[in-house]
Amino acid sequence: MATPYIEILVFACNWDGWSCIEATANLGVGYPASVKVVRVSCLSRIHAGLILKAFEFGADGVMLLGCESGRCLFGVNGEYIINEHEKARSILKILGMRQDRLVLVQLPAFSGQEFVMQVKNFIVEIERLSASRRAKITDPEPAQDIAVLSQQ
Amino acid sequence: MLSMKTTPNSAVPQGVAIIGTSVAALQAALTLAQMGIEVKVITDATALGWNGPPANVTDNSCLELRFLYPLLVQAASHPLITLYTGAEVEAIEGERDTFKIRVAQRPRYIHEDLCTGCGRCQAECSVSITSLLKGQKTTHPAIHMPLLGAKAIPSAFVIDKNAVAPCNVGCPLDINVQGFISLLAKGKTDEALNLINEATPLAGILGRVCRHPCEDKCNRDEVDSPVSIRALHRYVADNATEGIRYNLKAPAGSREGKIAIVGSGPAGLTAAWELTRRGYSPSVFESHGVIGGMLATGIPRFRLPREVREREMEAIKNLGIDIRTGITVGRDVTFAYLKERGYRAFFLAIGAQRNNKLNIPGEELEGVVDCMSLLLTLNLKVDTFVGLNVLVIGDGNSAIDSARAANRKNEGTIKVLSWTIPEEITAAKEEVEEALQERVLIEYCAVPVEILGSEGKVTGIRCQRTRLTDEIMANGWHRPEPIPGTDFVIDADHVVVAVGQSPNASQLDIEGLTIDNNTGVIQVNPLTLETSIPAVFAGGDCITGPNNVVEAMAAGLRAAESIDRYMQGRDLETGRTLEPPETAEIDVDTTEVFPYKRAPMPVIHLRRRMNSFEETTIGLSAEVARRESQRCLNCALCSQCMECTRVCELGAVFYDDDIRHFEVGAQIILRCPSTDFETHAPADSGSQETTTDGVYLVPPSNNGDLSDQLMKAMALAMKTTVELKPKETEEIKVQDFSELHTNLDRPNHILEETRIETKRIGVILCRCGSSINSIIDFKTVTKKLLRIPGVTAIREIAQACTESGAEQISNQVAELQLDRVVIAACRCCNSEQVCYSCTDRRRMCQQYLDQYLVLPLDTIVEFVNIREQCAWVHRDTPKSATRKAVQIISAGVERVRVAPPTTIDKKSILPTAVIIGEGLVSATTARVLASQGYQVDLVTKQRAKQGQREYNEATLFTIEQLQDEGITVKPWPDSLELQGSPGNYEVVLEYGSQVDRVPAGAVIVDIGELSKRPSPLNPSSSSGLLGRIIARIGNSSCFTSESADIIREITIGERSGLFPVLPGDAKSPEDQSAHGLAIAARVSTYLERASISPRATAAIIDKKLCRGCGDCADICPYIEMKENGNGTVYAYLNNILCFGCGACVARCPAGAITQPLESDKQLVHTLQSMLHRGEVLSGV
Repeated sequence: MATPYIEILVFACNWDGWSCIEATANLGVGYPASVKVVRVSCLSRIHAGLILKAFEFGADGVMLLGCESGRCLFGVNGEYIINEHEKARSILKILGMRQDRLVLVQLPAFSGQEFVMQVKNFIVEIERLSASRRAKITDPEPAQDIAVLSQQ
Repeated sequence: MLSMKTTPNSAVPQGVAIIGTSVAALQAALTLAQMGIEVKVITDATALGWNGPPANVTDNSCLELRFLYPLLVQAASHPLITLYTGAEVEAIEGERDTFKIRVAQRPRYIHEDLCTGCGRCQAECSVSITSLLKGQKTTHPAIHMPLLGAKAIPSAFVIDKNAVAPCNVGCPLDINVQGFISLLAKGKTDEALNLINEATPLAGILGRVCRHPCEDKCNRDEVDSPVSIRALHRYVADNATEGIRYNLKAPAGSREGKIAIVGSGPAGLTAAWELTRRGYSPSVFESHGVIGGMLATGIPRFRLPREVREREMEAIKNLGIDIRTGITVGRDVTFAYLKERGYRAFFLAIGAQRNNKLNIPGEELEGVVDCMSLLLTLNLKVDTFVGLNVLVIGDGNSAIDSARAANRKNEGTIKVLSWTIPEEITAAKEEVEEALQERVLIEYCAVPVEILGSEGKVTGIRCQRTRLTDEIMANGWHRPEPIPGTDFVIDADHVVVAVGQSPNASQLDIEGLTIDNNTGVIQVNPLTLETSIPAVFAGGDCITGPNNVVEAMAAGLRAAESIDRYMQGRDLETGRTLEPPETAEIDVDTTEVFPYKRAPMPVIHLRRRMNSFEETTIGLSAEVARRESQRCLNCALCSQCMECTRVCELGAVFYDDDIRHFEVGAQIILRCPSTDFETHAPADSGSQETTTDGVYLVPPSNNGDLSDQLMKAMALAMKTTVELKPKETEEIKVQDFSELHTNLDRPNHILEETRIETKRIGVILCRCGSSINSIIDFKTVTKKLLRIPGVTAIREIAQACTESGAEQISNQVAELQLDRVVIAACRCCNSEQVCYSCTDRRRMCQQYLDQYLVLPLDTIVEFVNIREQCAWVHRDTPKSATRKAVQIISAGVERVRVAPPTTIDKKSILPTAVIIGEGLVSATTARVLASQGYQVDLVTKQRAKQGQREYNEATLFTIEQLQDEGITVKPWPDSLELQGSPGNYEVVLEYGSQVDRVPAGAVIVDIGELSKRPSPLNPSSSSGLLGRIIARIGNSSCFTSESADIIREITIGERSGLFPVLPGDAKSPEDQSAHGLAIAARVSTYLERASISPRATAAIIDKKLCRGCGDCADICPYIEMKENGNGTVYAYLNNILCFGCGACVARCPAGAITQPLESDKQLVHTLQSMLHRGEVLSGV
């Protein structure tokens, strides 16, 4: 059986996030070519709309890769991206797409190995999700989701 | 700029030399360069870099490191900074203003400017070196990045070399032994044979019969046993699939002059081979019917099979050498005749063919033969008679060979008579062992006294026992002497005399040739091999007596060199030596090397050897040969297999580099404390002065206090600048920068889209020395990209980061009339920022393009990294990598396509500074800036004391003194506000009802003094510009608590032109004035820029779309809510201040905020191009 083509979109911040991806090349460790990286100045630039756009264009998973909390070069409050992450996850749940398809990964600069490990695990996780999705077709859980949202 | 070349003017004493590197040194270098001073950094390190944060660092030091790497990249790529790596200072001469620093630079073997760090060489390198990295054993190729697994600057590779490997030194032919073995270890048999054939022909013969002096020198012996070099040599010769290919050094027949070579043995043939390679057409005269000399006649076939000999002879003949067999010089043709026929140079390689006599009674008896004739007949003729009871007299190789050869034809016994003990026997050990296996008997310690016979036929010999004396012979062994009265008789019906041969030079009949009377050898100059007659050279056994093949071949090469020199009319001796080259010494740690026994040479079964001349040895199998070659310890590190030169498309490998000595001139020297020169010791501890005028100490690392170090470094840089650049008296001019721009400027001001026309988009693909296009298929990429609407042309270039690359790009952009350019290389962005991922090559790429690419204002250039982001991380899946490359490049294309037309918003910076503060720090800043020719206003508290206005008790400057230096001193205001925009501020000072407006390019504010009550900064003004900038500095959530003060100060200052002096701890006056200098350094580098423009990523707020909710202003203190005439509230941002994080863009509910190169529209298009379904949707 051919390995399914699991497409991962990584939003990486220009600083620590991008340096992790850069470090993989210096260390000579590779990762699947189905992992696509979009560089943004800071993760706080990302909003739920962009994340959902990535899913609309066929991403099987979206990873937000940025600096560890409190390490932002711009000094931007880390709450912003955490909020957007949560918001997008809730929407994914409403859409019945499984919120685990979106992860927020915060790594120190130059963590090439760690990035590769995380992204490979993420692919495995999504493969598992896809398999179960194929079996169950869909699992929207709508009522509960709306309740969660209205609390926010 | 990085440079390996010593530019001729490097010795001009101009600017500052910095010796050694440290954080402070780099900061000082950068500050100096930013103030327009030439800086030469001389460092012992091969490369500078940062390997990421160490495992357990504290938060603070981690931040420091994050700050340092960009600092390093900026310093290394600054056009005014020259970095000399691997350079040691030998001496400093001269004095202030005329220093001459004598520098010795270690060879790197790779040209720094050419190498892009693509790593193709690394993949081909055949040597693996084990070294310690952070306490862990790691292996890396001999050609490698200077810092393993880390970004290094300069990002050029380096080759680890030692002196010449001992095996190579041991080889008379100078075969690169380690080289061919390392190639073999990589499975490159053909390359290995080619490498051997660079040095010498006849690889298959040497692999069988060489005396292998290389193995005697092998360091592997210290671990277990030497590498079986000869067996590997043979393996290479027998298994290279492409056959023998001899490289010509000059076109065939390109050299004039007839050369005669007498003898086609190893010496003669090798000389002919080498001369032919050098473009000559020598003629070889051979007296026998076969060529090869002793190879054909003297070495039995079971050691050197006929097929091998003929194969190798054929390869030499195929070079087109004229070989005439059956002609004996001296008998058939005379030397004089040859001279008459125009032969200008001669090489006598006649060997040693005449058999020595025993000079004992009975030698004339029937059945007594010499070994040469026996071997000749056994080798070349059938049905040679061999007796039943053979006795071979002598213990050399010929004796053993004769015995073994006779054994194959004999039904009885073979006995060898040796005059010495088994340990000191002349023949090669392996030979003796094989002979013993074949049941050849050896009688040790016996000499013949008389050959006995009856009826004219031999019946036996009478011998005497010998004993060893103390006398040491030329070969290093003891001379045996016969013991009288120990006579005994050995029966024999066939006696072979093998007691050596001597040359028969008199047969040549050459007048004037000096021949040794005792040994019969031709006497020559050992260095040039020239005989007593000019232009006549001799080599091989005829000058040494019977010797081995390898020495004879070496003589052939030596003679060829001499003849070449002679024919060219050059001196025969210059530059030649008999001294062996320096041998690489390694410290073999026997505990580190896994012991692995030397592979034994497999042999055919004893039964098959008898009655057959089949080759005894079989040769190693592929698997054994590979394992055996991996036993090599790589003594010389780099094996000089030249694979890197072969694969490097940029020609960056320079094998013959040597240590270079040159001079660096400087007016002032700054040196790091770690670099000790006795003559420039510090005057006293803690001082930056040294005993030499004009030499200063770079501040040492003060327990890792980065702020302190950087501050002192900047102070030192400022001090140096003041000394180098005296006050300029010219009138201060304010330039208008609104129309000026450099070519690659990032557009940051969105224009109204007035014209809609098809954009011409071009894509430049960088091959990066094939390291990209060896993985990504550029043909496919080109085909796919051309389908995107608007893409007019795709071009490939070898390297985007070189001057010629930039020139090519520039030409192509002009030729194709592109208004949107996407460059797919290793650079990731078109932004001035230096992030942790940046490299010197990327910076150079930008700098060269800046220089060459002349673009209309509305052109947009975008970079896409297809090296580290695609090719290098998807090596194993080239197809997917190609697909991904198409996606990410087309995302870049989309980004430039949807980018709105923009222009560059550049503002001039007023060359004036206003300093608001008290104390020595402010005073020092003011004085230094004034000394640099800037207009300075000092707003300060003044104290009336005894009618005299005194500045401050702690300082010695009076107001008058300051005023004398050109500083305008203003009193402390009641109220203070800042207006205008960065670079063009207006400081509004209120004195009661009076208002003083002072224009300022830069503003220096003592925060500590401002916060003292009564503060001129009233609560209402904290929402003003000054208050907001200060809020950003003081806001710990904006700049994390871990950041060092100075980094905060630097970052804010660079953007806003507002330089805060943070209230420090009580500092000593020295520290205070250093702080003042450091601030002056930053202010003057800022003012030196003369213009400022917003960052490419700076946010832009569309006033028409803004609904005035104020969310953005909550996020960023730089955004201010303004009210227009009709009461509508809107957000305003001076985008020069903006850092470009984009948080406000994402939070704006009305979509009124955007970033020119990172708008939502561009991001969505990026996503669409990159993702599979997006591609389908867009139909590309």
